[in-house]
Amino acid sequence: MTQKSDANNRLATILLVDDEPHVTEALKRAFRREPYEFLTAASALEAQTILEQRHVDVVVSDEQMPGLSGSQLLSWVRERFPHTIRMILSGQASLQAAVRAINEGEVYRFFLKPCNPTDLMVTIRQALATKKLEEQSRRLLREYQRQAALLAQVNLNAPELLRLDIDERGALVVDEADGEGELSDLLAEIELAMKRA
Amino acid sequence: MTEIECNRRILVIDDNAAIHEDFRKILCTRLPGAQALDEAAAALFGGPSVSGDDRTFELESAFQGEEGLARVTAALERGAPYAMTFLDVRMPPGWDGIETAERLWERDPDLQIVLCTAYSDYRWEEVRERLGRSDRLLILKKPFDNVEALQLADALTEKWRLTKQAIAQVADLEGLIESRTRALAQAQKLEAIGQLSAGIAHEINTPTQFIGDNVRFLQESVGEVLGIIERLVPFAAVEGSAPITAGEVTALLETADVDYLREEVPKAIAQSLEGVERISMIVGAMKEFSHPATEKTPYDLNRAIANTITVATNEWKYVAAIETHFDSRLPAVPVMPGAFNQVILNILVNAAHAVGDVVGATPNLKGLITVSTRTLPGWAEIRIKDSGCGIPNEIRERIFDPFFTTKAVGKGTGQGLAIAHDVIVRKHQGTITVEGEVGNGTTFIVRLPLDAEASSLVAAAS
Repeated sequence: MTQKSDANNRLATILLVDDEPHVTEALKRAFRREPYEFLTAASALEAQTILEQRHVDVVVSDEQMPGLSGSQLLSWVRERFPHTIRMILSGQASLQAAVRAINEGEVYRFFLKPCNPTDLMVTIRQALATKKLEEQSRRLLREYQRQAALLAQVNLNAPELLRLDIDERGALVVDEADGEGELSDLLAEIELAMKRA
Repeated sequence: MTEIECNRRILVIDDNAAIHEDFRKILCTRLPGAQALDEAAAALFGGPSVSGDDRTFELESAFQGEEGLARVTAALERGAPYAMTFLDVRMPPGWDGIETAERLWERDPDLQIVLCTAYSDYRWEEVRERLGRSDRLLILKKPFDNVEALQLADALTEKWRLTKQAIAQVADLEGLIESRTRALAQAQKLEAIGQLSAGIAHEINTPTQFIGDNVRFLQESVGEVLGIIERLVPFAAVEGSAPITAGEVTALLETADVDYLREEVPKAIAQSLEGVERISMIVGAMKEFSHPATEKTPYDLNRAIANTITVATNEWKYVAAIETHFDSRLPAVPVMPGAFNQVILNILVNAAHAVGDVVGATPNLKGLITVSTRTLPGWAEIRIKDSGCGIPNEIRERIFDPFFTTKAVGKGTGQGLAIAHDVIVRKHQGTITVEGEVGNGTTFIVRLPLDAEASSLVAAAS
């Protein structure tokens, strides 16, 4: 097994934050067969430093820590890295902390210690799947917008290329007289425009 | 509320038998106008309006002061005291009315007395001088009017009842205050425990989390290692079977990620054991903290304080470090363990709050709480010093007052230091004082008296 060396091949990066290193170390051990890279931080400050240097997909943070609390850290993450999934793993069932985490940190899930690492991992997987879908939809939206812009440009430069005739039944009419020639010209034109863009 | 019943027992003390007969006629046979009188009395004194014929007095007779005293004593003893007495002034050869009155009040201070006199044996001033100015005394001049006597009997028996009622109500109220005060002290204790329990839960949940994760990891790793062993078994079982090759061994070892396990398994075990140790320590500390003894017992204060610091770990660990300087020569001090622990907890939690107010959410900044004990001649001294904001002079006088608090609503009942003061000063005859300036932290100093034996041991040692 060489999983620990091939960090670059991991599916996602997960940052575990707890002022007790025993907690983050043990979680890493429990998750060692998972195809993710795990980073650890012992304080909110340390976590912020890591987040500013590295891409992180999921942050799982303790609530009660010296300095910034978990919910304060996660509300910072929400502002700076809104696409990073945020979760709390708290040792204390405080309603106040939960409310703060939800309202300010918009956390994906609030876990109470002791929690079953399997539950935590299932949730992380689900969150990553959701995140992947969101990213995909964002990418598709960008692609669509790019293509729409392209078409608008083509239309502006050579409006006759995109003009379509519609007969009385609503069907597209291809001018047979112009035949293949013009269609291939049109495709070449689009190709060219896309290269320029 | 306690209800005092009507008392219609009247003692007539007179050397003249005819007078007894008169009183009996007046007080035990109601006059035609009696009902109107009853109603008037009811209206005046707010008592229940009862029909005149139902209501007669229980009359008893004594012919001398001494006999009167004996009857009053006997009545008290059987729990049925007289409400009032009609007392003659001249009763030769025995005590006169004044002396009898003195002696009767000595025995039964609640007794209402009507002094009956045909002569001006004593001037009012003299009576007042002998008996004092009392609202329990009336003077009735002979010959008296029947209605006058009856009205006196009605009014004074009711007055006796109302006086008793007032006393009973005061006692009821005092009892109520006492029980409310106790409940309040209990509530503060529960509040402290409630606050602690959240922190204690945290201190238990955290190790439970990593112990669980580690055990899961160990379970998985051991499973893998056992899998390798299983695959090695056939090589050993069959005599003369093909020897295992280096390549096969390497492949087997790789499936188990041996380097990783070699490094992590011992750490996982060590950290889990440490976690178990932490849980059992805090559970043990909790058990000792809520020591059930309410009597004074010789108590190891150093150990008790260390224990309370453990119980309260979650209250201070995020804002402060704690330094302890315990005097190892401190003898056992007679204290009520539960109450003492609560005092130390209250002061410690206050110290943590004070430090927390200064440190706030500043990362990597922690204050300091220093707890020390020392032995003084005749006293054990505990000092709890914090690097908090200090107590302003203008409120220093009031910090031990019940309900005084500077904490936000819902954060404190203002009972913590009031209880500390009560426990140390009233229950242990010790002292609790405070030192420090605004901006320079606060030190609480608790001194508890050593018992004689411990004192002499300390003196001998020094």
